[in-house]
Amino acid sequence: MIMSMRTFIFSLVLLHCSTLWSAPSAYIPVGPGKAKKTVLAFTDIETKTTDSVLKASAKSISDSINKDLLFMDQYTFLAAAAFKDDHGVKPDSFDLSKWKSSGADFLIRSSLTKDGTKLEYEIYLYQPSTAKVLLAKKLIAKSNEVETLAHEAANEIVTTLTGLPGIFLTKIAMSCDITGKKEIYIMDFDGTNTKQITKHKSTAMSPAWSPDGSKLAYSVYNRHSKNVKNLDLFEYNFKTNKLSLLSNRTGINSGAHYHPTKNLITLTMSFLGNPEVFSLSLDSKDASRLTSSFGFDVDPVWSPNGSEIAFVSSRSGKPMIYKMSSNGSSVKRLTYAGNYNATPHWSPQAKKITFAGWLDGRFDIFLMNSDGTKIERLTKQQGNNEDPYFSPDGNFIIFSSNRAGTKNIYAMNVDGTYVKRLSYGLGNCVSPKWSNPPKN
Amino acid sequence: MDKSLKASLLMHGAIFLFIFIQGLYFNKPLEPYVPTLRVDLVGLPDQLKKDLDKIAPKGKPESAPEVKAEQKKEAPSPQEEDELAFNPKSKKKSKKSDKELEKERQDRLKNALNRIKALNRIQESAEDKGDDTVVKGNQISRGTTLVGDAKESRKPSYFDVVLQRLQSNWSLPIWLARQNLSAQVQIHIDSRGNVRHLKFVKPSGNPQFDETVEATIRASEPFPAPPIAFRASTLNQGILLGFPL
Repeated sequence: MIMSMRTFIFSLVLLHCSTLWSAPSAYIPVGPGKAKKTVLAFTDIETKTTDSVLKASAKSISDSINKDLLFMDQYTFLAAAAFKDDHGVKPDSFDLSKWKSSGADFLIRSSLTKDGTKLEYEIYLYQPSTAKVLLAKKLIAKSNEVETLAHEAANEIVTTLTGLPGIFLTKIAMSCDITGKKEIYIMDFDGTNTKQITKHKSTAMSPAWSPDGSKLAYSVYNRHSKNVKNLDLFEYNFKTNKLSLLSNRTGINSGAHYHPTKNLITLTMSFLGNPEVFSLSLDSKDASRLTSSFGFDVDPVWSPNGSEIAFVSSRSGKPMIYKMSSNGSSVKRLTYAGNYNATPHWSPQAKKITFAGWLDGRFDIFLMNSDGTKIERLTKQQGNNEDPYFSPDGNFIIFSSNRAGTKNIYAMNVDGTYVKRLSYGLGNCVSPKWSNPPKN
Repeated sequence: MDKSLKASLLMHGAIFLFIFIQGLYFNKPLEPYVPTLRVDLVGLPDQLKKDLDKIAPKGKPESAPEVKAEQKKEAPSPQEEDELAFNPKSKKKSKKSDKELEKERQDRLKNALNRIKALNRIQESAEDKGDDTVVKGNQISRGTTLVGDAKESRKPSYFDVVLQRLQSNWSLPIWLARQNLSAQVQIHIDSRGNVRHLKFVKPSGNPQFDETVEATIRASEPFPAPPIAFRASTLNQGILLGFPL
């Protein structure tokens, strides 16, 4: 009995210990944080000269950097009056500690000098709270390239602050009909510097940027033998100004999307009858079939690392978003909601997919996780909104909309806020595609 | 008898040992301190994402009509006649003196005013109670709180305060907020509410995000002193914080 009593007490102690050791700490999910704009102080660009041309260049650079950063809708600037009498650009040439209480999260100071025909722009980015110099860079450009210099400087600031690529030297391609025929146009990220690329006097559509931005693939209706119209795929090279034919197989050769690293394009082709997704080698021009279904399979896009392809398929009856591995295996349906979901595109971080969904008698832009969960609506009651496409930094989605009558290109934040119209005076514009930033 | 007792004790010992070892090596994942809600699956969301962010926490649409329904049901009691309600009979009955009539009138007015105040209070409290509404596709529904299944924490009031303190300080630059990053931090709070120890159990992989998380915790210090019953656990076992989950 004494033994059993001992055992009993021992067991109790054991039990007590086990509860002590296993007692879990509380788990508190704090939830999403409040997103706030970063406060920047951008002092006047120092020129130390009486040269009015150089002073004017400094003013243009300053205005352009301001405009670029405000486009992001993530930054706010301290009023210039707060630092009018403060001079000095390089570290230790001014009292950085004074800026701790200014309310600025970061301080930008810069100077512009002229060396012959070249402009030298020296820029510093400080963090007053830690007294750290985050960026110290000298940018050199020809004196007639002030705008490019300013965009480069703004890119440097954004990349330093966020680690993400700056978008201020990127371009947007689209198909517009101001000439009466559909042609391919390009413009800068903010809708400026519009340029017509094609003059086929036919219907050119579905442009796609190569990863380095040096080439543009697009489809155009061509006359084949016996005067039959066929949708062929071409590639325009900006460096050589040459146009080359990629595929003129019978039927559709459209909806191209470049592989991020390999010399491949994924597209829709119908030379076998049904529109299916193919991958096309840019070297051999050989096509390999990736989908095989009774319905149509269209709008393929590579995931950012090229391991998967998202596409639209009507195999289940209604057109829905699917994804598959790059060789066509492991097909997974992503959307079940809605009646017609089209034109998917992956975010650069691969976590999200945007698409156009048919709801309430029109198309609107939606966003979901790349596994098909958590669908969110981004546009509503503003006409038809189609062709969503992510910016290379993932902060914006561009799309076409007829909210102002004709179809135009708009950009909005990824949460659907801050919608900006980008295209003007080009008739109806559709299929906007955003290029990657050029690599130095 | 002795044999069966031994066998029983041995069995019990084995069970206790099993619980002990299980507790040591097979800890169950922690129950998050959040109320669990059940919602219906729906089609494409009708509401805009930016509007949902504004609507969701308030949850007014359903609570307001309910209050109205309560108002209608409430019948005036014989003692508390409503001065604001039209009642032609009351005039015929009155054969009382002017003073009595005046006193009655004032009483009725007072009752009516009290009733209006009470109704306002009910309405205000209903409007404040927005936590249990969730947004589903096309409309805002109440959802169902699964209290029993959710195994909510036994220490809600203290953790509510800790959560509120952290949430009021939890802000980050827009670009960082859009990265869908997540980090988990274990903090140990001493009896005075100070964070004695802080450890990243699961870093986000982004140094700036992790810095912001740590700054949020530091800015929330000191937390209120934990209740005596919880002091040992908040100091020794600590609390796991998820940013955002």
